[in-house]
Formats: sequence, structure tokens, C-alpha cells
Amino acid sequence: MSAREELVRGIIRENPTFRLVLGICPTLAVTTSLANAVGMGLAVTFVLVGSNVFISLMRRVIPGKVRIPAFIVIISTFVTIIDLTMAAFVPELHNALGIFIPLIVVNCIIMGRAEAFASKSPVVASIADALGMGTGFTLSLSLIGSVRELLGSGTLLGLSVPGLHSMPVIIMILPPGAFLTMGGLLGLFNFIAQKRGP
Amino acid sequence: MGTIAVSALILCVCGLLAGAALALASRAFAVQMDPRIEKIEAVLPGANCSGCGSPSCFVYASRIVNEGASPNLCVQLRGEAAEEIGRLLGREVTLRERQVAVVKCYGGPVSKKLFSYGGFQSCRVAAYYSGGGNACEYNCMTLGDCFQVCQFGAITHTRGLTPRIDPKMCTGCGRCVRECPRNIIRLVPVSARAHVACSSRDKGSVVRSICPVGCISCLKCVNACPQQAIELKNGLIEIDYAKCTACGECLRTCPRGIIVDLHPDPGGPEAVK
Amino acid sequence: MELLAVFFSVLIVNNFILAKFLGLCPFFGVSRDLRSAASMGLAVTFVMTAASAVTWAVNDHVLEPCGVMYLQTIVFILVIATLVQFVELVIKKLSPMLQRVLGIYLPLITTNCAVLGVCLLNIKQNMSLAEAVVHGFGGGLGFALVICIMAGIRERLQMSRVPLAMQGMPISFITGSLMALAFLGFHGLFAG
Repeated sequence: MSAREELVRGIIRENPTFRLVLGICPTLAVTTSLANAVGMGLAVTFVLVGSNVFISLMRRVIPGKVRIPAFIVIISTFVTIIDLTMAAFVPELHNALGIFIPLIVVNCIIMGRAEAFASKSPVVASIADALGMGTGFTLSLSLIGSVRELLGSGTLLGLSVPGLHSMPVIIMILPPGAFLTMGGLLGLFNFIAQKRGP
Repeated sequence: MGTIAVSALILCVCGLLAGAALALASRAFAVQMDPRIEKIEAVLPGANCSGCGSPSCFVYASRIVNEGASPNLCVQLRGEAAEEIGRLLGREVTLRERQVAVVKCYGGPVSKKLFSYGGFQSCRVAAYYSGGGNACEYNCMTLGDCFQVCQFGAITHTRGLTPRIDPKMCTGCGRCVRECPRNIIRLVPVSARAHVACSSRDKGSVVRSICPVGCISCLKCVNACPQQAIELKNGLIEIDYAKCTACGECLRTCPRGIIVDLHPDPGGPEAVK
Repeated sequence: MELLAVFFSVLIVNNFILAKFLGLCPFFGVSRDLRSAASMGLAVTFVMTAASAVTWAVNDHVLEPCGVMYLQTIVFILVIATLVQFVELVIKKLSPMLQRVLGIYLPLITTNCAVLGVCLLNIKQNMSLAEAVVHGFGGGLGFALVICIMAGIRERLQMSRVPLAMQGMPISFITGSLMALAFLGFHGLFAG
């Protein structure tokens, strides 16, 4: 599969959030606003690319039995890097995302891609896969974040939207709203996928 | 420089300690087990379907080695795997003929309904509520409990229609047989041809009034069979597959067309084995 | 009592799944039937309690004295992975019955956000060792409680007429939202 196809695959056909339903914890937790959602998406993309490259480079060196612990250490190194970087350069975003930045380590998407792809493929393909999955993840998070922010606070990226700002549906930025938005969007994408045919 | 050294040192020490602890633990807590059990488990299909009667392939492997259970209880066991197990145990393993499940009722969609059932869409639940509105107390309720439990994808089903079991994919594990609340799914040898598609034990006059495809016990098939393989037992027409030669007389004789050929394709059972 | 307040608050008010969004992957992945949900809940409670204690100790005796707080993520996840592996070995040897019940779920728990999450929260909220252990135990029980409720509901959902597009994950999420709504009612309890 060409690099371009890998990229597109991660965005639509194998979108990690809406098709594979992976990495739900950060998806629901940080999407109270579009800015937070994009921030998390970019952080995850960084970790994905970094860890995929490293694991792909070292795939012949790491012994089979210590595969998983090795992956965990590599991934957590990149997570620590992005954690400290964000704390230094974008402290408000860092505070908003809270413990979900270190929790990127246990994000099923990253471990899953490392195990299923990067450990078996050359570097360029791994980068393409990581970028595809990361972009797909960021786009999904942005979608959920926009919906929740628009309906829940009546703003978008902090700028108030005239009609919605006066009567925000606060439940949307609370946990029930998160589950509701996710369920509704999943149903919508399932419907579209079924219409398209098998 | 100092930071790098300190962090590197701490991580190395932690890693070494963790590794050492695990290595020691794996030796201290090692479980002694007959090595044949793992080897046999590796050869078994690993589907944990419970067709053999054990809850998982691992338990079955332990039973084979420790309790002398027969290896041919595994419904999915095939040639090479059977040979391998025979080698490990040091004895011959003979395979049984594969069995497949068949639904003994096509009357579900067409038989008489006493009321329309709108409750939980499950055969087992509907059976509690006056049989889900079906006048016949032996018919297929078409709500697909069997479809839900099949782990091999051998059953296709649309609500309201009789489920279809594909003999190519059915392994004969028996889950659907156990799941059906009316016990109308049976296991038959894969080479069986004639099949009576009715489970009703009611008298002929009753069946005539409630189902157009129900067996009315006219006994024409019993009389027509040249091998005398068919008999009426406890109100049900049963075919003895040990005697059946697939001559097709019963199919032609049945006035209601209830006896069907399980393998209508030109290849016959050989295509399916 | 402080500890009781911590316990009950994390059990229902700040429930890990429905309020903190931790442990969602197994929440939707393992809640198909009640038995596996209960086994998963049991295993998670056990690991969360043990991990809280061990990571707190490591943080207190190793990371803080050496001033390497930034290594928290890496060291904690290593500790958790080792702990889970260790627990697997011990259970396999000492209790075949527990092994049969919990066996397949233990490796899955290493990457459960709830476990790493509770360990990090213990440090972030400056808890003592006792508070950390109670926090982990209560959090695990809260997880088990909610996953069992979800399993019970999903077993029934399987038999209901759900529109095709909503079958499976979407309707489970909607169910989750209703549960979260219900649990919002506990807000304010144990606030004092």
C-alpha cells in the first residue's frame, strides 16, 4: 500500500475514533472545547510519529519477548517529552488537558499501531501510517469538540456565536453530553457506512 | 549533563530491578505441568467452542493427558492435528464423522399466530410468554437465539424467518442445539440427506389446522422407505441415518413436501465435507 | 472520617468511568455479559489498589528524593507493567480458580487508563499512603459497579429492537450517557 493510501486510510476507512473505537478516554474527556481537542490531537500525533519511527528503526533489534515493555518505554519517553514541552510553551492548554497528557502512554491507538504496524514495516510506511492515524484522530476530536463547544458553551474557539451563546446546553460539556455526542456521531457514521454498501 | 546522568541511571536501575524481580518470580512461581498438555493445546483448534464438553481447549488438553479423555471428542479435529495428538500420546486417534446442526422446522413464518408478540426479541424470552403467540408449541420462533450464539458464523438469520445453517461452516459444536428453548435443532451426520423439517408431536388433525408445512403423521414415508429407516417415535417422525441410503423415496412420497434434501447441490455431501 | 469520604466520593460522586472518563475502553469492550464484566471489575480493583500503593512508595522513596519528578510517567508505567506480570505469575501458581476467572483480563489492564490515572491522581492531589490505597480501592470498586450495570443493560439491549445504524457501540454510548446523567445526581454528596 502506498504511503498516500496509508495516510487516507487512517482518516476515513480506519478512523481510530469512529471506526475502530479506540482511545475513547481522551476523546471524551478533553473535547469540551475545540482548542483543547486540537491540542490533544496534535500531541497524540507527535507521540505516534515519534514512537512509530523509533520502533520501526529498532524493529530488528528488539527481542520478541520484551517487545511490549520496550514499546511502552519508547512511547512513554515521547509522552514525557511532549508533556514537558507543552508545560513550558502552552501552560493553559497543559492545565486544561491535565492528566490526559501523561495518559497518552496508555492510549490504545499508539500501542496498537506500534504492535500491528511499526514493528513490521519500514520507516517511511510507519511515518505515513502514524500521520494518517494522528490526522484522523485530530479530525475526529475536532468534530466532537466543535459540537460540544457550540452547543455546550455557545462559543467556538472562544469566540461567542450569536444565536447559541444566549442559551447554552450545559449538559453538553458535562460527561453525559460527551457520551451522547459520541453515540450520536457513531450512529451517523455507521449509517453512512451502511448506505455506502459493504 | 547531571540531569541526563541521573535520569538515565534511575531508569536503568528501575529496569534492572524490575527485570530481576520478574525473572526470580517466574522461577519461584513456576507451575509444573506435563509438557504434553501445552503441545496438545497448540494443536487443538483453540476456538473454545465446548463441543467436546470441556469449557476450553486448554482444559480439554489437560483432560486428555491427565484423565485419558478421548481426543476425538473435539468436533473440529482434522487429519494432521489428529495424527500429531496420536504421536504425542503414543496411540492411534480415530476421527468421528463430522456432524452439522439442522433446524427441524420451516413453519415459523407461516404457522398460525394467536396474537402478535411485541416483547423482547429472544426465543427464550418469547417462549415464556405463551410461546410468543405461536399456536404450535413446537415450532421455530424465528427470533434467532441460535444465530446469536454461533461463534463460527454458520447461521444466517433475519427476524421473522427461519435461520439457515450453512453445513460448510458448521462445526457441530452444539451451542445452538443447547440454546434453542424448544430443542428443535439437531445434530446430524454431515453426509445425511433426508431431513424431516417438523418437530411437532401434535396429532395430525391439530397440525392440519395450525400449520401448512407441519407433519400430519400420515405415515406414508414410513411405509415407503425400502430400508425401513423411518419410524414414528413419541409423535415425531425420525430417520435412522445408519440405515438411510439417500434413495429419496420419502421425499417423493410426502404429501406436504416436508421431507427435504439437506444437500440439494449437485456435489452432494462430498462438496461439503 | 477522611478516608471514608475519599472512598465514597470516588465510588459514586467522581466515578472513574462516568465522571472522570478513565477506563472507557474496557467499559465498552468487556461489558457484553455480566460474568466477564464482573471478572474484569474484580481484576481492575485488585490492580488499582496494589498499583496505588506501590507507585506511591516508589514516588516517595525514589523519585522525590532524587528530584526526578519528570520521570513519573515512565517509571509508573514500568512499575504497573511489572506489577501486573508479577500478579499473573503468583495467581497462576497459587490459585487456579482465580486464574480461570481473572486470567485473560490481567494483561489487558496494563494499558487501562484507570490504573495509570489513579496513580497519577494520587500524587497530583498530594495524598498520603492510606488515602492513596483507599482511592485506588474505591476507584476500582466504582469501575466494577458501573461496568456491571452496563453489562446488565447491554444483555437486554441485545434483545431489543435497535435501529441498524445504532446497534452495538452507538446505543451503548447513549446508555452510558444516561448512566452518567443519573450519576450526576450524586454531585454535592461528601462535598464538605
